[in-house]
Amino acid sequence: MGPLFEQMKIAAADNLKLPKDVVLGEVLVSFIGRTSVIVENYRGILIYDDQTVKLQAKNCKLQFRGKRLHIDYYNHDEMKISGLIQSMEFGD
Amino acid sequence: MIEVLKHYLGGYLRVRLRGFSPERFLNLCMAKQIVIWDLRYQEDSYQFLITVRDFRRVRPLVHKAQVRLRILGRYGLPFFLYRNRQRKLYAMGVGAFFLVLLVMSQFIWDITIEGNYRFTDDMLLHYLDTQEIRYGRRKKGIDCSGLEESIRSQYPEIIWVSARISGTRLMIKIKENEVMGTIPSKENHPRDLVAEKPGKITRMVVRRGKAQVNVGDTVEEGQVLVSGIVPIYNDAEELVREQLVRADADIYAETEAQYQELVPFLAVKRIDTGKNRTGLRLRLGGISFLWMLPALGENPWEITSKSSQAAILGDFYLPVWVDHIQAREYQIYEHFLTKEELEGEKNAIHQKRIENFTEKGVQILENSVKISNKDSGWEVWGSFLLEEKIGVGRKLEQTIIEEPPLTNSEEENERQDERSGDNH
Repeated sequence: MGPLFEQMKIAAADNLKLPKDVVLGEVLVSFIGRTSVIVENYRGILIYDDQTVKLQAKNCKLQFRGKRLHIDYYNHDEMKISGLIQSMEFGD
Repeated sequence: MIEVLKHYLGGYLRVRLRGFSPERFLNLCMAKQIVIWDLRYQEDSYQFLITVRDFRRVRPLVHKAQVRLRILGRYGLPFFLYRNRQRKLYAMGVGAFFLVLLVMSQFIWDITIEGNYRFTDDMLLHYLDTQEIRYGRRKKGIDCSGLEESIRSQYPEIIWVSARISGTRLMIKIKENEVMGTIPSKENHPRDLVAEKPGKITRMVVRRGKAQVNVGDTVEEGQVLVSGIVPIYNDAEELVREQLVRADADIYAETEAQYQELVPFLAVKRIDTGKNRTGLRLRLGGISFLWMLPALGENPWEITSKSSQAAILGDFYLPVWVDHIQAREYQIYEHFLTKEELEGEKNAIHQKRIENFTEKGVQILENSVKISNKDSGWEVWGSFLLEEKIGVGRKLEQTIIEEPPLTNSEEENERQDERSGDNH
C-alpha cells in the first residue's frame, strides 16, 4: 500500500468525519491528572524502567518520563501507566 | 472485579524477570496474548503478576528473549488449599458449618401471625399445632394453600388468609370479619312506656301508642306515659277492638337529683423519702437468684419490677427471665384538710357527678353544691335540676286482652246452631 492509499484514507476520514484513531490506527493518549495515563493503539514496548517508558505507535514513538513509573496492565490494544508523570515526547 | 475473582480461583504468581532483553519478552507476551499485570521496575529487574495457566505457556518465549524468570510468590485458591492440606479438621469445620446451615434451613423456626384482633396468637398457634405445624417442623410438605383453607373453614370469622414460607419463617396474614355475624332481632312484644322517675314533662314525641299525658303535666314514678293499647272505633264511634302495639316515644322531663358524699377530716399523704434501691433477679426455670441490698429502717418500700424473657430469633422464648427491681422508700402521714384542699375535693366530687350526667346525655338545667360540718367528717351535698328522658318500657300482659268473652259467645252461638241442625 503506497502513500497514495494513505492519503486517500486521511481524506476519507476527514470528509466523512470519522475518528482517526479507528480509521488510521493513530495512537490515543488519555491522561488522568499527572499520576496515570492510558495509551491505546500502540504497537509495542521499546524501553521500560522506573523513569522512562518508550512505546512504539504506528507512525511515531512516544516517550513518557517521570518517577516511580509502573505498568498497571497492558494488552494488545491498551496500556495503563501509573506514577508521577513529568513529560511526554513524540519522536520519529 | 470478575477478573480479580478469576485470578484468585485460578491462582497467580509474582515473577521476577531478568536478562538481556526484557522489553522483547514483554512484547512477545503481548503478541501471544499472555496477560501480565502490575509490572514494576525494581533495581535492574522487573516484577510482574501472571496467572498459573499463562506461566506454563511462557517457557518458549523465555528462550527467545534470553531472559530468566524466578517465582517470588504464589497466590490464590489452589495455593491456599495446598498450604492448608494438613488442616483436615479446619476443613471439616467449614464443611460442617455449611452442612448445618443447609440442614437447619429445611425447618420452620419461626411462625408470625399478623392481622388477628379477636383471635389471639396462642389460639391460632394451638390450632396450627393440631395441624402438625409447629416450630422445628420440616418445611417440605407444608401445603400453604391447604393451610389457608383449613384456617378459613375452622374459623368462619376469618375471611381471608395468606400463608407463605419465607426462609425458615412461616408468615400467616389474616383478616377478620369486622361486621357482626348476626343482626340483633328486633323486639316486637307489645309494651307501655312508664315514667322512670317523677318529674315535669317538658317535651314529647310519640311515634307509636296512645299518649296518656301532656307537656306540662307532673308525673309520678311508674305512671303510664304512652299506652300500648290503641282503641279502634267504628264510624259510630263505638269501640270495635283494642290493638296492642309496642309504644315508642321520646319523653323528656324536668327531674331533680341529689347526692351526699362524706369527706373525712383527715387526709392520708404519701411522701417519698428519696431513698432508692435497685436489684436484679435471674430466674432459670424454677430457680431464682436475687442480687439486692436488704431494706434498712422501719419505713415501707414500694417495689416495682420489670420482667423480660430471653428469646432467640425474636419468637423462640427460653425459660430464662431477668427482672429489674426498683424499690422506693416512702412515709405515710395524716393531716387535717385545709380550706383549699377541701374546696378542691368538693369541686372534684361535683365535677365527677356532672361528667356522669353529661356522659349519659342528660342536660343539666341548674346545679348547686354545699359543704356542711358533720360529726364524722365534711359532707358535700349537691343538687341538680335536669332534663332527661324518663320513658321506660313495661311489657303488656296478654291477659289484658278483652277479646275472649266475644269469642266465647260466638262459640256458644255456633254450638246452638249445631244442636238445632241435629234436631232436624
